[in-house]
Amino acid sequence: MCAQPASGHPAVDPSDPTARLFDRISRLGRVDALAGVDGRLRFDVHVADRVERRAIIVHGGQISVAHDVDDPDCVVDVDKELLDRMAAGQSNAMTALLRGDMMVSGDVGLLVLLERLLPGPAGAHGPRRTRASKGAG
Amino acid sequence: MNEELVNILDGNTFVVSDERGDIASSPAVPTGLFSYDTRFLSAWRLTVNGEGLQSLAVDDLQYFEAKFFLSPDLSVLRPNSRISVIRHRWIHSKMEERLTVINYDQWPARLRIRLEADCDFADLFEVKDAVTKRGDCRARVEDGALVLEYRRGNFHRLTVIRAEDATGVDEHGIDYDVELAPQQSWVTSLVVEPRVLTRAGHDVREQLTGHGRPRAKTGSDLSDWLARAPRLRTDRRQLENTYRRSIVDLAALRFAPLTAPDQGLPAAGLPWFMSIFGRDSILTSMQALPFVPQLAATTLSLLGSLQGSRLDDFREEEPGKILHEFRYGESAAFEEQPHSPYFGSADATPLYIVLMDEYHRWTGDDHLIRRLEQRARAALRWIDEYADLTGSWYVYYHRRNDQTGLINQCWKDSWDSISYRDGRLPGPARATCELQGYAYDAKMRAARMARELWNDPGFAERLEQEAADLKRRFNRDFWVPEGEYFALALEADGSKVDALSSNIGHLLWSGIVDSSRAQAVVDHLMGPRLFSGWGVRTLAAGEGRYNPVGYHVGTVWPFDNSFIAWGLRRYGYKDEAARVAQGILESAEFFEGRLPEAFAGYDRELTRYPVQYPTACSPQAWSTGAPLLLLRTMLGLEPLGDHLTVDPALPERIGWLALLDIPGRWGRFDAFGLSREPM
Repeated sequence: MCAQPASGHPAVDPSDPTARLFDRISRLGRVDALAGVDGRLRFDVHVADRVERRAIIVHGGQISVAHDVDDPDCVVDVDKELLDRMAAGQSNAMTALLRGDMMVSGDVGLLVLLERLLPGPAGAHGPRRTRASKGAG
Repeated sequence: MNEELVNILDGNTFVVSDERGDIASSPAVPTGLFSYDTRFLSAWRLTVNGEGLQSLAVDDLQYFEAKFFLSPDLSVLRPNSRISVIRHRWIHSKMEERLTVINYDQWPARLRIRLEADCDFADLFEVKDAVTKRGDCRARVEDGALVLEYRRGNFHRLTVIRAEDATGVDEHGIDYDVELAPQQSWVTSLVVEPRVLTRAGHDVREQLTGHGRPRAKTGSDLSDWLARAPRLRTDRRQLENTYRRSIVDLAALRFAPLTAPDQGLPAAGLPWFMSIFGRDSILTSMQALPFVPQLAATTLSLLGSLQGSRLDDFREEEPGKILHEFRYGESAAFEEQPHSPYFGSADATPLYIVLMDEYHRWTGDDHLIRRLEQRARAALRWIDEYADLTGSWYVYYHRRNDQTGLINQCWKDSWDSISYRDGRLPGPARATCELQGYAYDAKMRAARMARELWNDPGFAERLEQEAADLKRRFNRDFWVPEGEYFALALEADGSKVDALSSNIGHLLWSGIVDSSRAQAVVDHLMGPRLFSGWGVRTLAAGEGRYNPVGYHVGTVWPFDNSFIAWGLRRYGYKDEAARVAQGILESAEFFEGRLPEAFAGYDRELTRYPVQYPTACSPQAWSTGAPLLLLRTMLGLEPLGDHLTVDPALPERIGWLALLDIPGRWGRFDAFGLSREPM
């Protein structure tokens, strides 16, 4: 495996949701929810007629990002525009896969595990809470 | 009509046809070839000289193959047709068909044989409706194959039909001109391949690790499966038949999800529920633990990998929550339905922890339980942080997907299942009683795992204190003193939704019932309002919404009863557990050993046989698992450390019972039970 570390934390373009996402992931370090997971996930990101590579590496619960990775366990082929929307919580990775808007090869289980690093839909309210007037205590 | 339909399947690719093998789907009687929650054939009709055939017999040899014995019209006009057609069909991700036509006549026969094909590419959720598709359906002939195609944006599905020796292929079917001398036969083969394409034109599944390895769900796979399961011997021969049926049906119900193609967990039901359902997969794996423990391992790993991590109101997802249902069809893909996956279930999360502990008690698989520690902790946090909607420390649900979410997010998930005695429906925030039992049990069991496997005695102590507190409050807040039973639910303001229901039986299973109240609960379960003679009704006779043929408001569910029987044993009511087991197992004998999802709540005295609830799914996973859990309860099987303890209590109509080679942390063990009455 030859994982090139991303060079430090260069200034991230605040208008680029994908860059911000990878920057956030690069600072996570240890993620309990990924304990026991090992794998290398590569994104082939289509920007106009170019393909930019980005990678996420999980090893022993430690997560890191890289520009590229050899011998990935899973490759995700996605347009930059869609990845931006996923990074901003505006698109869902699983439905993008089911619609055919995103292609995955290799171990899709790894994508499922790393999907939890993506934000949920912007503006989600969460459970509908009410206060109990009795029964508590 | 359902009795006449023939189902065969492999994973989630399945065919539902009539008894001629034909597919001619209508909203009333949906049939077709389905894969990945999409229909790939909606018409598939065999004709000879322009006429349909008649069914003489069907042999559904295995769950993955069937033979249809057919003849041209036997009407009065041509009483002496001597042409026989055998249509042999099997599924192994593709559908294959071998046609054999035999001329038994003294004269040569010239036949035009045609297979008509068409497809509407309906989503599984649309098959009972006449739906206008948003995308485009097309048919074309390409390299001698008939290709049916559907596109909506990048969503691309193909049905490729290849026929050897065809005389002609057009956009609507395949023709063969056949001349047969007397006594001559003719054979041809067809392959129908459902393809789920990416925008680059590859099949999605071919690109994924694990799909390359064909899962040989063939005869030898099935005989291996049967050989690994314990053997049952008993003087009640029908019970051996029921047992064998259950083990074979569990094999058929194994489902390899898209996200883990080389694994198999129990899907909920055949054919319409061949998908991951959190609750159904967990409870079926639990029922099957003494027999096929590997199902639980897969269920735990897979549901854990899909555990919720975010807030999502459409999918009703929250961090730590275990999913309800996962679908791959068009309606999920375009977010017209929330099943990608949908999380609207309040019981799957605590039950996930219960299964984890029960699996470990049977198998001693320390490795898996250590690996899943963070999953369990997240699930426990969900119970405390996200399920407690009222600040009362009870597990509530209140849907927030108002369009396509479920109103009731407990196992009784129909809209009218939770009601007051007088039939009123409560407000939308509901804490059903069994959810509190599951949460209690989850905490008690997690405490054991924390102490013995996660090296966290402090956490264990905290969980036990919380569980004890929950039990104390539950016995105070849910108790209906006038009737001496536990309310079906609490409303958000703490009002008791006071109908008498089978849910109180699950409370015994969970252990949340104060021992001083157990007798009253048992009296209700075995009393005439709940016990029909075949089993415990979902809702007691006399309640406002009671209806003996209402889905969750009066029918008897075999799965429900298997857990109630387990609960009765837990509190020491062996004879009552045996009575429940006897009722359910005897009812299985009326269905050739295959228990339906539910049957009517009529008194046994009244109907003499169990009246099946009309349902499209058979076998249903947790009905398949019910006889297995009932065998466990009759034999009183409980793991104790590295040993299996046996404490049999057989119903009066079973003289003796032997279960041989029960797998577990003890290796293999034999259990015997003898009737206490001399035969």
